[in-house]
Amino acid sequence: MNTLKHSIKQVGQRCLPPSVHHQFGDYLGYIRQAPRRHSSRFQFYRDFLSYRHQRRFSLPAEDPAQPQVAAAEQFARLLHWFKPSPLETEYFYPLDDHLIFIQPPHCTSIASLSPDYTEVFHLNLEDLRPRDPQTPFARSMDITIRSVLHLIEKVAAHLERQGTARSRQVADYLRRLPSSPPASFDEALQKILFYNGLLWQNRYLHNGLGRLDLVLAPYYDADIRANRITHAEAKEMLKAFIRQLGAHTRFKSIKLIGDTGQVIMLGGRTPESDSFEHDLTFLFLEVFQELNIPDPKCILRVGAHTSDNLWLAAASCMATGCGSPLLVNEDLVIPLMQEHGYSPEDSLQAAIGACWEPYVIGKSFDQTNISPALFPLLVFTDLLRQLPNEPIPDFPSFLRRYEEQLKKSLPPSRQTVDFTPAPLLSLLFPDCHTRQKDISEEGTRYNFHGRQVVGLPNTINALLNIKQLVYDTPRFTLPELADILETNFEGREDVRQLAQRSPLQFGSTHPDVLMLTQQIMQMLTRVTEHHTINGHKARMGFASSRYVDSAESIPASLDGRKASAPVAAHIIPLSPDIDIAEALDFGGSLTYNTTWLNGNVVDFIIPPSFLADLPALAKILKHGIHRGAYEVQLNVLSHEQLLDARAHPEKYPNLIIRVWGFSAYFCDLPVAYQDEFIRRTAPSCLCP
Amino acid sequence: MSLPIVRIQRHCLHDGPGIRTTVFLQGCALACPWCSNPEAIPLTPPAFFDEQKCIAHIQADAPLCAGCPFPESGAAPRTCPLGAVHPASSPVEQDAVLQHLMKDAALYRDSNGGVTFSGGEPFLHARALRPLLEALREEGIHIAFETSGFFPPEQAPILLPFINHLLLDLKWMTTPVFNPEISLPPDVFEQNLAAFQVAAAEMTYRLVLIREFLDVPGKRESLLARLQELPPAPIELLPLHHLAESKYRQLGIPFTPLSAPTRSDQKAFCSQIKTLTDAPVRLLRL
Ligand code: SF4
Repeated sequence: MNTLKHSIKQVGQRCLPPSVHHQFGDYLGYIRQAPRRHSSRFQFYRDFLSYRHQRRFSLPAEDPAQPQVAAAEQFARLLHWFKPSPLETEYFYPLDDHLIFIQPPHCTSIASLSPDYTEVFHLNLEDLRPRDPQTPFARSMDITIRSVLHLIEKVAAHLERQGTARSRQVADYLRRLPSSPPASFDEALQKILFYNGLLWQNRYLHNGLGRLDLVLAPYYDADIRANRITHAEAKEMLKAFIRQLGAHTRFKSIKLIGDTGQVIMLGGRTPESDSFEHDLTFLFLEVFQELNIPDPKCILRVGAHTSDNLWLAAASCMATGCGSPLLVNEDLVIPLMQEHGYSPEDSLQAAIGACWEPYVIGKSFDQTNISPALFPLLVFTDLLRQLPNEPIPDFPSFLRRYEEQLKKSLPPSRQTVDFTPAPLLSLLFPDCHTRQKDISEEGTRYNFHGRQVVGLPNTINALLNIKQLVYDTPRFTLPELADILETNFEGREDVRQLAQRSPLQFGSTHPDVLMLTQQIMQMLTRVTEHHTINGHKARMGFASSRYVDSAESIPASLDGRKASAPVAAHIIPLSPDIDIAEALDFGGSLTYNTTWLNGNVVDFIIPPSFLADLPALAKILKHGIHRGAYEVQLNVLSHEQLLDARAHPEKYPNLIIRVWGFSAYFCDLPVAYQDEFIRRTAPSCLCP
Repeated sequence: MSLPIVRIQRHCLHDGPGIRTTVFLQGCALACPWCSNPEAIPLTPPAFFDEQKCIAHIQADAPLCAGCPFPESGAAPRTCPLGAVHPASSPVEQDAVLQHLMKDAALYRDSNGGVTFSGGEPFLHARALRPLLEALREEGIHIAFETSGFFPPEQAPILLPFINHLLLDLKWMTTPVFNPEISLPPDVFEQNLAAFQVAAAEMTYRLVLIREFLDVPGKRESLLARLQELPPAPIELLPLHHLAESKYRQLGIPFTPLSAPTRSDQKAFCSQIKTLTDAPVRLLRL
């Protein structure tokens, strides 16, 4: 696959201006194709060329004087090319995946934001259009609004010509869209889809949808009260809405198919209620349960006030294996957000972006996965390589050396990142209008960016092994272990297994494990205390995504991991000594601070006995959260099923697996990820 | 005082009402050939040897394995640095057990669940268990015992005042097979049953369904007749499962290949029992 990846790059570089070569891989999507799809290079090139042939690329201006204006013009060009097609689904969705928006070079893409659709419903494009656009921001707004109005007119006329009752109705919705709030539930769904489709067309990534039960409740209630729709009709509308969002998964995915970040938030506190639980909250969960698709996904905000009915609805949905909802503990998240600097009022509008990272809907420009990520495992390897001449006498001294080395390895404490100008997003965020600033230039009030820490569980396991094997019951010296790692455990499978089978593992609530985990979290807090990204305190992500490919360059580690093998992510009951109860306890016993605002997720496979007793599963989840787990996500599958799916993908087209913060069809995953899941689910094994 | 703990399993859904934590204790007076916890039968813990965890086949002469007889002779080693050998149970102090059991106190309350003692035969540890039961009662925790009714009758009064629920496993598939380490009076079951009946604990009967025994002519009729003689209480039927087969292998004891009746036969037998009693009859699937 690597050779293929390389070949695509080479061909790609011939097709695009040099300034955008680096983005080429993202647009092809071939590295995210289903495994075995391309058995020969010839086939690969053929598909690639037809991909290239069928698509129109909107390229960024070379070195523009006003980047925001150039971005708006680039977007306008794309909308100009947009050709409406007849309405074949219930809703119009302005996304043509043959039109490709290429980001300006040297800018970091924007991802994982949600406009607040309650505010978007009331946007009046005519009012927002600057009368006398002088500043770059005003000009970018003017161009963006004009191009959106032009698109609406073009599409509405087309739909009227189509002449069906539904197409005329949608045309009517579109004509009202620029200046009127929706008059019905149906129209509200269309309005969300319209702006959401545009965001994707403009190549913003991981577009969240916000708290849709809360946003849509007034429209649903009014329609139900007036007998304009029934509960069943509303459900059908929601199904059509969800299907529409899930119709372009491949185009929307970042690294792996399914990684779209299309998050619908449900439930949670509001200024008026301790737990917002509406007909729609339940209806969304029912729809997810019945459709059983991995994209979009939903996240349920839960806490002490969540009703038992909602817990049961959540458990029933999770038990289908669709990967939704992920549960987030708002009793933990909201106070932490406030401590970090979000206002009490705004923090009630929390959503989870990217995978697990909280932000405020409609007010945050928090980019939580800024490169470079931190790799504490590498630090550890470096330390063993450069052992001092004099022995390190005890484990606390070893930890001190580790901390010194960690400090040296960190990226510069002040990082500046240039984000892609984003006029369309800015249009949807009221703060940007108040401040008259593009969202990429801190148009919104919150700009708390962050980084991921990759392989923390492995680091902690490796340190626990050092403590055990070198200091507590000495069996090896540090130089001996360094040699064993240097040779990638060659001829020392015994040591690798010893390291891997220690009962003291990340995820266990043994006091030694808890203490060391807290120590390392505090250490990372200390060494990154003064780290800022664009002048704001950086926050850390504890659970890592891309645990397969990001580990390719990490050498062997003393948790028993061989060089280049995947790193662990989240809190997963991996060892036979750690069961679900233990993993939930562990998740609940970590102390988060504002550095660790991004939390951690407990991730487990639901045992069959729980699937047969959903009220019990609901209670187990509820108490796991009450005891302080930050987030919980579940899988419904077995080792045997995965092995069979690998051998006979045709038998398992709908087998869904939670990969990191997203779910995907197992058969869509690259082989390396499939293998990793097969390994993880094995009952007890001699792991690679 | 410590207790010989085989394991403590949280989030159990079939060991009494609600969500429970089940404590498996070492030692049993019986030695049923289908036992799903064969490691818990002897009074002193046997050792498991899991050959699959042995690395001899991937690394010959591993330095950490020096002196191990297994690669040479195939004999099970007494210890293994890589965890291929481990004892079936180990003593755990009461306080530590209590602390572990209390982790899910809120979950027990919310689900009308609690703690279940099983084994082995938990009544064999009556004296050691009593302080723990006192502490659990103090905390308002619902206590269930899973018992065969085969234990020295003088143990019953020590614990019964603390027990809210008894799960009485009816070892009626064959004539009982005894663990020779323990001697009991011949009418022990009847004596203990009488003690259970006067106790305040709720009762559930459990019967493992094994095809080979149920198919013996006249067996079902005799089972039904015996069930009818019991004071009425809910009945749970547990079709035999083979989840323990690997444990027999790892303990180096012969595994008796028995099987569960077909699903339709299980249901038919369940319906037959239902005609005998007004109490609920449930077919469990583990
Ligand atoms: S010591 Fe353990 S792993 Fe090594 S040969 Fe013996 S049984 Fe196998």
